[in-house]
Amino acid sequence: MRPRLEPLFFRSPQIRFAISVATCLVTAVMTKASSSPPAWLLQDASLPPMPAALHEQNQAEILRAEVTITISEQGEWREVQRYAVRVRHPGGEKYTRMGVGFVDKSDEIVAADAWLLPATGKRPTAYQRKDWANIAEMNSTTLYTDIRWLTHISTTSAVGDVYGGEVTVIRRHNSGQGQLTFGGELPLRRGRLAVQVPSGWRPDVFWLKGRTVEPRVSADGSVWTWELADVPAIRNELWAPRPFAPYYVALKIQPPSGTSTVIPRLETWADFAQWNERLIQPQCDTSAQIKETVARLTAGLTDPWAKLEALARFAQKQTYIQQYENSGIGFGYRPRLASDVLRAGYGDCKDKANLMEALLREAGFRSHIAIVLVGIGRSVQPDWPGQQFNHAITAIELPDGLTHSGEITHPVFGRLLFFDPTHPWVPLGELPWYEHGGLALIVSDRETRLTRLPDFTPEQTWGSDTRIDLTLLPSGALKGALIELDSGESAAEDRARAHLASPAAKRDYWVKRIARSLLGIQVADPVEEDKTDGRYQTHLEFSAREFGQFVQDKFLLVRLDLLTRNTVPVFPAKVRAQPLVIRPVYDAQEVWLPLPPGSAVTELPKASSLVSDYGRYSCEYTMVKDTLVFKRSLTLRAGTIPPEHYRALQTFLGEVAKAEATVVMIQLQGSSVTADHTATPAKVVTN
Amino acid sequence: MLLHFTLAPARLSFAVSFHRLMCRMVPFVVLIAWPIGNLSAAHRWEKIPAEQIGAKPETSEATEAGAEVLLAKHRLSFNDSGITNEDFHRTIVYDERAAESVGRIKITVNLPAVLNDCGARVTRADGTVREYEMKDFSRTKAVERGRGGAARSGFAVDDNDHAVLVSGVELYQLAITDLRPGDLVEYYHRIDEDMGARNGYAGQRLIQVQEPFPIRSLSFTIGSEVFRKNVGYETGLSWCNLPNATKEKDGGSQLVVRATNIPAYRRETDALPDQDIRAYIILRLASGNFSFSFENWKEFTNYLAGEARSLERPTSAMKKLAAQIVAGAGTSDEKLRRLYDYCQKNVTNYDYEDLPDGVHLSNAERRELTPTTALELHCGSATVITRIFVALARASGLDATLALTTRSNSMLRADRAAFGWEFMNEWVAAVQLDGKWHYYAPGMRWAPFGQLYWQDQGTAVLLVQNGKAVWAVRPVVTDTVNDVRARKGQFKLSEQGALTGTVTETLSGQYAMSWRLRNKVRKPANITAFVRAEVRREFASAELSHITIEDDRDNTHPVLLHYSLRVPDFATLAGGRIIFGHDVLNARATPRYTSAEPRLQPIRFQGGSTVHDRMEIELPEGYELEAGDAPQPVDYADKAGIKHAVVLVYVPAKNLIRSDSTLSIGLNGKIIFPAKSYAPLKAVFEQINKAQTHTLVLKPKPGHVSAPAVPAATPAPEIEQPEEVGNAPEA
Repeated sequence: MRPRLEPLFFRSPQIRFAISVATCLVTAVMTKASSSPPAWLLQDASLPPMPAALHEQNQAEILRAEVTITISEQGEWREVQRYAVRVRHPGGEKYTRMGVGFVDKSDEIVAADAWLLPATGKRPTAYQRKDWANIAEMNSTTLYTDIRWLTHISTTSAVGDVYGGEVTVIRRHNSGQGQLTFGGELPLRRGRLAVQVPSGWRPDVFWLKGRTVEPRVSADGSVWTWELADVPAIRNELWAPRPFAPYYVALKIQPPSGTSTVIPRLETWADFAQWNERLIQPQCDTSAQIKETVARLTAGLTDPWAKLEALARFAQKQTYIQQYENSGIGFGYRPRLASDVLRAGYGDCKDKANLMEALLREAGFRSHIAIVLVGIGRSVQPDWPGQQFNHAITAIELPDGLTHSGEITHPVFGRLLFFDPTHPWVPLGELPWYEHGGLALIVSDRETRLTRLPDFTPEQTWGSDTRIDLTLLPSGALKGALIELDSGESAAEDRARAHLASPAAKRDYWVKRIARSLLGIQVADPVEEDKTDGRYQTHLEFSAREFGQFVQDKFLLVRLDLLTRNTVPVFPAKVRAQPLVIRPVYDAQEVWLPLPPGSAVTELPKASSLVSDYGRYSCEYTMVKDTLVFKRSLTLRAGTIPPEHYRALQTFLGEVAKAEATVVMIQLQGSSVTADHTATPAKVVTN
Repeated sequence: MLLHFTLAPARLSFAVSFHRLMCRMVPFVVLIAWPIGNLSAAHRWEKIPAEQIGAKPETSEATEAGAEVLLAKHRLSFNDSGITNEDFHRTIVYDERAAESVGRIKITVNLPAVLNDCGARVTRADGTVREYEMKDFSRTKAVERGRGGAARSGFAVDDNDHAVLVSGVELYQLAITDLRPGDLVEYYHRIDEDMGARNGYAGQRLIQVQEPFPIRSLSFTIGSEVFRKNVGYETGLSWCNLPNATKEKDGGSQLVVRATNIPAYRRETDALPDQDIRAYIILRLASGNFSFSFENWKEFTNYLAGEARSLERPTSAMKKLAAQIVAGAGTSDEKLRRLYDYCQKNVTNYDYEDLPDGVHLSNAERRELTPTTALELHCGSATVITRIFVALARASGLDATLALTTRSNSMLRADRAAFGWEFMNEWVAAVQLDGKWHYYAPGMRWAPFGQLYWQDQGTAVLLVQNGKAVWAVRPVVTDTVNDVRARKGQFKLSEQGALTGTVTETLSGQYAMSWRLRNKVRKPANITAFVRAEVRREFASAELSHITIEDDRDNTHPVLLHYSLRVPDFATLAGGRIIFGHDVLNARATPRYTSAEPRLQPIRFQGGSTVHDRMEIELPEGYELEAGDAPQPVDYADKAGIKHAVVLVYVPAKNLIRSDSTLSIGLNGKIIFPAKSYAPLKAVFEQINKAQTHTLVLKPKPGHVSAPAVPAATPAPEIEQPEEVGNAPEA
């Protein structure tokens, strides 16, 4: 929507895009000031209306989104952000606001001004620095942060008004890098990034999203300008790649070789790995508590894998809490001391990965922090060495004699097993699905390139194998028992529920899953087992007051997709403007229904087998002696589907959904099962 | 986790709006601010009773919650310059899953209040103890504001008349991460608040005492009366939804409320408003110059009697205007209708719509707008329009008055005496006809004459009758004629199971009001997206096109939606047969309630409603009905106010099935039920779901089939009689 430097602080994937200035609800106090609107804002306000195609139905239009960065010989980063917006329709008033992120006590806000130019022609209102709110970027996992937003909101704007703001900030985060988005849910008239550098310096820009924009360079090579005009708004489509903006650009400032400034020269991945190593390695300290902890956790264990598992489980159990102090150093890439993290018992991803490395070292294992990029549809651009990462995990060098199917071979570090200590429920040997196949940078001064993380099959990533045995009672009611064997993320979800949900909440979870297909459900407490191979098994017994639909007491219509009904992902929109990111799925089920004596299936439904570029589906109905058996399996591969291929995916999933909704007719003549017209629903005991 | 003795923004707006009201009638008191001294003294931990160390849960609820607050103490002490706010909690961890939550301690300080002390202590089951001091807490200035003039007062009113924090928020946090079952976690804090800086104050604080964990013992104390004596502040203390609470004087100058076994709060669907079910302590505080007592309604009602009458006094111009409007009207009802329509159509309601062309009003001008000026400018706020209506009605000789009520959808059944008069914060119009009060909402832009928003139905009003204020309850109305969502669909079913056709939806009454409210500021693309989403909630694969909306924003006209619908996988194929749902738009609905767990809170429907669906499905050629079952009717109108009926008609000549279904909820005003009615109500909605998802079978043989037969009805479930809506008059 507006340009903003995206801080590259490591965050948990759960909150990676949680913070937005749009969430800042605190309203500014209005104070009239004498300063007049600047010429650039008056010029923006006089712009003719945007072409209809661009502003149609949008409540506001962004007239200007501009960032001007000036780098001094000493490497000081001075940034001026300008923003202007016109309210076009009711509801657009909420866009008359501006926010700039900064690091407390490191960055310096030099000036902050805003103006509201009423459409009525009345005198503009000016807002000064003291009218801006200074808000900590926090969420429920933040214990402390020095990352803040300077925010201003005009609450008096009306349709036709133009609002603008200008903030000058000096950044001292010593990385010389930043990322910026242009456009979004509102159309953008003019976007501009300008960078002024000393002689011999060079801004290196990479367009991570959107078409590459060529710079305009001043004659002396000191001012580089990238400009965008009339950028249409985009729709926030479900599962579209992030960030939600048509243009996303990364910037790094390259000082000349041999220059001694706070800004590092990062030309290769080796440069970047070394820069990170210098930041991170001093934090991987040891302490008596670390030694004692490792000794306690590994006591009596001789098997290296058992030791690794014990340490991994311990690191995972440390609470995920963000404590951002001195974020200006390394711009959020530097973890807290491992000894501090262990003493407190909490940390964020880089803290936990760093602690894991300290624990492993104490136990005699070699490991490294690996930095990765997570987020829907996001991937590291290998051709642009620089800050593209937002998460930290651990790369463990496997000792001789220890092998694992998830290991990869690295030319420098040998056989590596990656592990994410931030995810509390994905065990050692696996990775959260959003890291599969991604590019990681191992933080070591010996690293020279990116490393591809291992990929896993859908069965391993998000797998679920279920068998359900049903018993149809003479009253038409149903009893059932299911055994579900989950793997990957499905197993992780099971573990989380097992540890965090109350018994009632667990029962409710199962009732809601089954309630899509049965009425009057009761479930017993599930019996669960976390298996040693990483899978998670649940055994559940349940009953339902009614099953299927009786047709004049002659037929019973039943559907056997008890757990999968309406779970096939469906994308009904005819066209799609942005790529679609799909997550992997593997869901196999068998349902066994012994037919009551004397009854028979009128006609077995035809088997289906569908194969596409995105996955495969099969289902079949068979009779095994007197038992009707339904088997189905759906596999979807993870991937990013371009808009032009969207229709093919939609067709495939539509056919799956249709095949899934199969009804079986059971002829009841001669059977003891009848519709229970005398059943009184109120008599069902629910306690 | 904490007692929230802070003014949450939503509550703040209550306090501020009434504060503003009060300012009109009493001199505004300016107090001198005294600096708060450092009152800090080292906290002394109490000895933990032996039986609490390693205690086990005594209730199933405590077991379910995984932790229990054994002791919660809150104390407010008044000193020469303000309030000292002390909080103490002792919580025991029963289950590992509650450990992280219990171990996160967060203290929110709304500036300019100051946290002067805090600490925590963990006592393990084996008796070992670990203490945390104030320096161990992380301090973050979550919101920091500038040096604006209002900053000192803690809150201000913004240009939209909403209260906003202006001076900032500080957070003090502690994370204790190694808690185990059996651990006792205690914490305390003391916050000092400079009341002198508020420049006079009248307000209530609604302190929510329910937590995610049950509380075994709670005390809430108002301490020293020094401040009250010296500065003239009055205090009051009451509570609601704490059934076993007691209040006592302790030591002559302290008021203490004690309560035990307060259940944990769990959010449930179709619940009553918070004030009706959640436990609150209500603290009242006012300068002595605000003359009436908080415990006694008499003084307030005297004020109301005078205020309500003066606000709506008609001018001579209004009398002239009223005479023009009602000229020729034969009945009082007709007069009221004309006045109502005049107010809504000739005075633009700027709470809902843009100002008329050429009219510009500053926020200050809006606040001061009188009915007379509003009539001249043809625009006004909801409140001003209500006042105009009452004034015109009085000018027409009708017994009309302003009445006070609570904000929409609040306090349906709450103990109003406990909440006090400050929560009566909105004016509504009441007219007495034939000895009975009728209520009107001309200020509600989308409420047609004679109708109230469902959120306002059943809420209490305080009005003046014969010089005395009396309580009344606005009626709950289930109008199955006017409050209707009617959907008509004409479809064609293909041999492949795809359904294609058009739908026309007519929204009237409550449905139209909700639609217009919801889409007030939505852009057209979002409205059509909303229509799509509504249909796709049931049919994920539905393709909607040609969506048109007819809404002339006239309250007397319905909202009309038209769209084309295609559901590629609507019917399922079983061998040569086609199986499909008759109630197209509900064919894949899930029951309203699914949870089989016991319900904690009463159930409350959002007013009465009727949905009528007429679906015509042209069958594929060469197919006929295999069997003609129709769903059973579901009729619990008497016991539960719920009725669902389906008429299925097969028209052989046109080879189509016509399905007429009607679902009414809230019949006979029955919208609130005790929690124990959950299971039977769930069963009723499952019966309705069964009828809605009932399927028909087609087989590929031409021939005549009679209309579907209706099987015998299922016996009625036992349902508790609904509770009365509202309380008996109290004033």
